[in-house]
Amino acid sequence: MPREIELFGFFVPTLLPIFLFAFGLQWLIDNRLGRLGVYGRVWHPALFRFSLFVCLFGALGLALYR
Amino acid sequence: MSSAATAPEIGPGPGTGAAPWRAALRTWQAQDGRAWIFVAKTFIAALLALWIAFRIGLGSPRTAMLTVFIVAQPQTGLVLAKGFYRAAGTLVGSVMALLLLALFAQQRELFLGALALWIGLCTAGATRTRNFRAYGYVLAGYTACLIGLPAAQHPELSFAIAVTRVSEVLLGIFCAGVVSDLLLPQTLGSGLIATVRDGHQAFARFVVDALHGRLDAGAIEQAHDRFLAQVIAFEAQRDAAYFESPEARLRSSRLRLMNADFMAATTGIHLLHQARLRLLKRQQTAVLAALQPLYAALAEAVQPAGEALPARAADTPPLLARLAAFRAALPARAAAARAQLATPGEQLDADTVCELLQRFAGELHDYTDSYRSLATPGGLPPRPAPAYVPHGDRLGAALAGLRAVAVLLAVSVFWIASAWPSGIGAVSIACIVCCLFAALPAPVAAAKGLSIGFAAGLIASFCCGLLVLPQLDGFGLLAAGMAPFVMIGVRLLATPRHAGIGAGYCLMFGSTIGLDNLTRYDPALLLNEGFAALLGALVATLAFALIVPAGSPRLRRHLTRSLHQQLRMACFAPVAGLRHRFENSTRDLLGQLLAGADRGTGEDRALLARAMAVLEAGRAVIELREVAGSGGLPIGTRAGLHAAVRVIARLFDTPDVPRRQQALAALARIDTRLLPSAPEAIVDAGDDVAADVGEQAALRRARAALHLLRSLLGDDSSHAALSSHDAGTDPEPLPQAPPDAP
Repeated sequence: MPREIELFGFFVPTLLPIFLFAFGLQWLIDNRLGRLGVYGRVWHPALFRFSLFVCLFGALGLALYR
Repeated sequence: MSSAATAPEIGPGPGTGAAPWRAALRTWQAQDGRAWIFVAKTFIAALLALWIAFRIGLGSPRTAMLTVFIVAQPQTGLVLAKGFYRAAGTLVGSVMALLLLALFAQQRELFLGALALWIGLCTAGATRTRNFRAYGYVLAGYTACLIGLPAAQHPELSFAIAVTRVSEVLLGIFCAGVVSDLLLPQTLGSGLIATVRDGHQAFARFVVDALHGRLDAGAIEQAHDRFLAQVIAFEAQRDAAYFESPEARLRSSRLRLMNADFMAATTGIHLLHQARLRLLKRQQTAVLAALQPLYAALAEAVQPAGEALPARAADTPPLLARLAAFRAALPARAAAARAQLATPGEQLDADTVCELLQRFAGELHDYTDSYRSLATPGGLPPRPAPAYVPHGDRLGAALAGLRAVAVLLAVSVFWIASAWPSGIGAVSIACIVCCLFAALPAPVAAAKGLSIGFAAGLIASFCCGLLVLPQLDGFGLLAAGMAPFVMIGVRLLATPRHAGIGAGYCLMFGSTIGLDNLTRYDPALLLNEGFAALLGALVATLAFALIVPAGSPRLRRHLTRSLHQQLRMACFAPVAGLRHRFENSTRDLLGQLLAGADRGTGEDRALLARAMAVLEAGRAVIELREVAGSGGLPIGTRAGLHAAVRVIARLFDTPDVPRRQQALAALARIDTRLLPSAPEAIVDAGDDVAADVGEQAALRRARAALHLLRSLLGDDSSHAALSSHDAGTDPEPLPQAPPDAP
């Protein structure tokens, strides 16, 4: 995949749309987990959420830079 | 070895010996500790943003740090909410700036004019929304200014400037959000649960006391004042907590429903209380005596003797069952009470109060039911939740917009005419201050605080940037050198009384400290930028003080009059969902009025009394319109009811003696028309009992609503509260006592 993509005539790093995609994905998973009550069993829900996001974004980003 | 042997002996030692020490620590932790945690978190977030911005080489790293200071709030939800709306506002504003640049970059007059127009529009829009959403509007306005002005001088760089600004702001928001959420998080959600529980319990206690007649007028007034503040603060917290966690998002609609139900219930108990006061005033002792057991029964249903009020949402089902039983048994009890009374007038009084009791019990049941639904983590709201309806004031919005336009144009003219190199800074700051403070109850004081903060921040920036930082080298030492200066500002930010000064200090310090990729040592530039910002803030302060000040008597009179205008809405707005819209927007307006009211002179009490009268009258009118709109009544009667609403609307518009008599006469006429049809209906519709029962109920409701309105309009004190446009005008009593019920 190209590392820069064209957006309205400007080059932006592909990581930006990936970041936004990961954010959306995180939002969906987060709501799902919240509905299932997972966060009641987690020590630090915010840390869990943040780590989940880092995993998602990292995995998608690695797929780009591999 | 020895430590293991001595440990048990030492163990209890500090426990007992250090008890006062620990208690002191705990109080410090509860009061000052929180503030210092906030200071530490904000500083860490600011450094993180700064470091990342330096590391990836963003254009001006200080914007990222400034953003952290701007979104810094003690609770995570507030940071995330403010950050979200800041991000949205920045994006919209930068797109607008690019658009304006593409259209008018060559013509500075046209460009500044269009910019001023956009800012005016955004500021006006902000006064029509609440909480951080309004902040997003404001930001969309002044971001266009922050990007557009520098970019207008270098149009070829405009896209780069916009991208840099957006990425720095987003970086700052990201760092602030992550640090606030991860390090020792203080969530709104936990506080919200306590607020909800305390709110329900306090209201139930108030209801029991009010039904037993144990409260005097002052206590009731205070309680309603508290309830109002609760409604508004609760909505702000709910709105921000939405961003905190998925649980909070799941809970959000139920909390919104609960707040709406709470509003309805507080008006319900007010109506009941007023009806009782009127009966007392007219010395209807027989009616009062007949109704006493009903009041007592409702109080008993809310809190049976010897039982505690439900402390948690899970404890409410018995209360719900008792309320439902009370509602089911009420018609029979009402009939019994009616039978004790001799005259039809007394019976009508009793019927009206029973109708109010039935309705209030229903409202309390709804409120408790939506409270109960919060006990299950993933539940749905028991009924569809209506949105919070703010009161948008057109004149206030237009004034705020015009003021922003005037300030922007005035400072721009000065900038262009004097060819001042730092003019951009002054224009931007004047614009920011004008936009941000437009919706505040006391903008002059806020702008003054900000100016003081600016001055202090400039001094600190001078000391830190020109005396301390040049001695130091590397990011670690930079952080250490800035720490004391930043911490002073953030500590001020954490003190509610000095938050404005703290904000000004942090803003000025962050923007003039000169943290750029290429370090510069330029005292003249620092002072020029600093004084430009100070001048901008002062011009905006002046504008708030000169161009129709927010607290000015004329504007307050206008707002007070719009409280009265709410009655027009009750009379003429589409009836579907009107009850909630009326209740909500009236309360929102009253909240704005009370925020600027002088608590010393009793102005707040006058306003509250008037608003309660407006709520009562509006509810009575809406009830009448609902009855008129429901199918149960013959068409002629419905037309009569609609005609009565029109007469009442005319009375509300210009409340004078002839119109009041006219309205009372019209209501009496319709009431007599309703009366004879009742026995006929029983005879005629013998074959269709269900329809008959429906019509009877509608008829009873209509008569109760009519009677409520008649007693309200006939009551001199209510009429005085409704009719005086300015506090303190004389009530116009009717020439003779209002005719009693037929």
